[in-house]
Amino acid sequence: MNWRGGAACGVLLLLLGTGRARAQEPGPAPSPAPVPAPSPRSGPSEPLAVRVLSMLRQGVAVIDRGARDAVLPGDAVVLQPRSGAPVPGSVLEVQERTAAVRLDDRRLELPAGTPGTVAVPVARLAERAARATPAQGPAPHAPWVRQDDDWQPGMPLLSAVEIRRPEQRPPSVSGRMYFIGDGISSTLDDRSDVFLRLGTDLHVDNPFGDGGQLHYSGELNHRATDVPPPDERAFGKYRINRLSYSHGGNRFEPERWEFGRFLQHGMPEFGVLDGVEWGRRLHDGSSLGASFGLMPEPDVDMADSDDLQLAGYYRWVSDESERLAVSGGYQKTWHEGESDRDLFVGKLQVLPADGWSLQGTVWIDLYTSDDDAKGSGLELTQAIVRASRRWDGGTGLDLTWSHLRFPELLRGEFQPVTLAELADARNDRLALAGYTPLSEDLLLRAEVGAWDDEDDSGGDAELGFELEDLFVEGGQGRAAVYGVDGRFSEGVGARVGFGRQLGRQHWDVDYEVSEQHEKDFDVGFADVLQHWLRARWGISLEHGWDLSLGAGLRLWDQDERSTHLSVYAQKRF
Amino acid sequence: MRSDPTPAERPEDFPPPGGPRTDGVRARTPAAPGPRRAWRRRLTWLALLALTAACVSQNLGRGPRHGWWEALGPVLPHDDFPADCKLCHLGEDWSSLRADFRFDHAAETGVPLLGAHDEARCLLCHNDRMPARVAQTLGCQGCHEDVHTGQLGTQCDRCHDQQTWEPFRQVQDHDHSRFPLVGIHAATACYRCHPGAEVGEFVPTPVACVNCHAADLAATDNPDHVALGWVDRCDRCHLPLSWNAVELDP
Repeated sequence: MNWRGGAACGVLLLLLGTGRARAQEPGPAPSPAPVPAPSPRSGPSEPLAVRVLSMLRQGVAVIDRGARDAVLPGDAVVLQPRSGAPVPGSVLEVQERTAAVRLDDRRLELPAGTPGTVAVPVARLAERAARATPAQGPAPHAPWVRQDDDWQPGMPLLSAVEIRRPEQRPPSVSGRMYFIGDGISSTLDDRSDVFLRLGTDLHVDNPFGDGGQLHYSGELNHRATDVPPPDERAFGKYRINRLSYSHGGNRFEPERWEFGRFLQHGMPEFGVLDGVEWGRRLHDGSSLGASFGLMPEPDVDMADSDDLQLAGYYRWVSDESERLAVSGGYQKTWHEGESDRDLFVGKLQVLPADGWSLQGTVWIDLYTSDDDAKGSGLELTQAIVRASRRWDGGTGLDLTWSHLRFPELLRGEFQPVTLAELADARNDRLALAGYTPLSEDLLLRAEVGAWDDEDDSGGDAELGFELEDLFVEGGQGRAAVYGVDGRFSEGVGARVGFGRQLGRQHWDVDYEVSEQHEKDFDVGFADVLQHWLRARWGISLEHGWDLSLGAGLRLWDQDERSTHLSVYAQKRF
Repeated sequence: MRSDPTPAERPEDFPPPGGPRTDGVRARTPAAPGPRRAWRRRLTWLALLALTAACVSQNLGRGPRHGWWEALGPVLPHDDFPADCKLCHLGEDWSSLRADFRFDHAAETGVPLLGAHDEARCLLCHNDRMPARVAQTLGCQGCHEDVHTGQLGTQCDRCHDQQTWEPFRQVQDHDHSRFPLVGIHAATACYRCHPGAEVGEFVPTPVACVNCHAADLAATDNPDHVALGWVDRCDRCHLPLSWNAVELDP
């Protein structure tokens, strides 16, 4: 009999069995032919494990035990669903390998696989064993060759799922396309600035069948600036931020390659590279890597690459959770063939316990006798260290220290500065920011900071709150007062705002007023009163579209004003 | 106290932006691309624009919200999934997720999905790169490239909106610095003071007036500031409303 014939017979038997079960309901009745004569049910019985195969209908289940297991109509059955109390019942109809069980609760439907037991008298089991001949037993199977899975108590009884590797998946595309329009116009000397940007980010997974990724990010920028004295600038520039191909660096391949133009993966602090980067994850989760290539200048078109760099890094992690990670890297650059920068970068991440975190990055430059302003030796060029604590109730605290100096470079990284500024200029800032909910709808925010540079020192403070569901459902009100003592000015101000989330739309209106005093303006009235009114509206549409519009108006003394309009449209795919 | 360098030294220290420097520190000099290079760029741009438009119009990669389809195969290990497969799968077809499948990310993981994260495909975060819980310990940088090269810290949402990534708080945040934006500074495009802002680089930025206003200084002729040695401390006579609105000491 081929498989089709077997299947047809199986279906026929099932139908017959179903018909019998229905015909004999409701009372238990002795089954005809295949069932042996009933044995007495008195005496001890032994529970045989059963499982529900299917439901014939409400209140009648089919179990995987039958006449070959010495089950007879009338035997007591207890089924144990995953949830709920045990379900008693009794055998209604018996086939060779299956039996129909009528549940005491005739409204019940149990899922396939529900376990249980059927009570079979010991005497009947012994009688069946005596009748059985060795020839009727199953043929001994070959020894099992597959080893047990690494199962531990408490783990679900799931077989391992074979994960498809990146190269086995079809190519897929994700990314976004966006447009930014921004215009500022001011009555102060008739200044204006218009900026337009059309940009695209694309990521193509497995484009060539080897599991790699193709990345593209590019922007077309147009800017027209008109400020006095006659300083009209207009440009339209196309810039490629990223055009690279990467491979590996996933759980299947510890080694990662990327080449083209890209922001360095292992140590982003080293910047954008036109070149190649290699990285490898070690068996303990730590990683190391190196990169080589040209560094495009960070200007509007990133077209010039006069700087060559060679860099390497090592990242150590305490364990696979990466709650403690320490990274160190070194970058050597040459500008137009001349030795330029020796940069060391160190990074630390500590998550000592739930709610705590410490993150820090330091940039240290090594200077030699060729560096006129700095002299020889190491100097801490930049540092950002932040310690945070979060509490369950929604309270948080952040302590941040930042340090900044100008590195002495041949490469054009920032506004030109004097040798004196290179040698002495610095800025340190320490800030403490926190927030805590005062009630379910009210959040209090505060921030205090202090700065110190080579000439002066000062600070700032802000106290504000946010109120949810203000006036209407989804409305959010906010207000803050602040004071700042800057290097050139000092002042106080206040902000109030209201916004509302309406489904996929949101809008906000904010107003700010501040009185700023120019500290060194000693020949007249040095206070500047400024008002700022702004509004934003945004909507997230179906199919990944986002749109937001903004407008702002600034008013100063002497009827001077500035207007600002912006539009942002984005399509995610 | 702020130092007062010798005025005679200052003009040489502040050549016009883009001009050559004589003190070993190089200023940026944009190079004009040749015609062939310009055409190559335009063609590259047009090709990539066409590719992007094609992707957008075809809605490539935009699957259902949970973003899995059969051809991807099982991407995630199921070792620590709930034992009840029917929470996600149809009973008779492992390749189809239930139409009403929803995953309350905040309730199940303690991590709410804010802004565009709520509509993102699961695979953008849960993929082969690293376990998502490890990526989470890295903060935004666990999934997003830090185009600011680490120089602005790790609190991206201090400036960026999570729906569109649009920056919106930079001007306000200047009130927490030594350079609050007063007058026209608050209505000036960022790149005028932060030339690297076009590519996400904002620091370091000098704060002395003449660092940005060297051209203004050089253009003065009534009176000639350079000739008079008035090359520093502009804020003693000028308010940040207009260079022309000057108060002179009677």
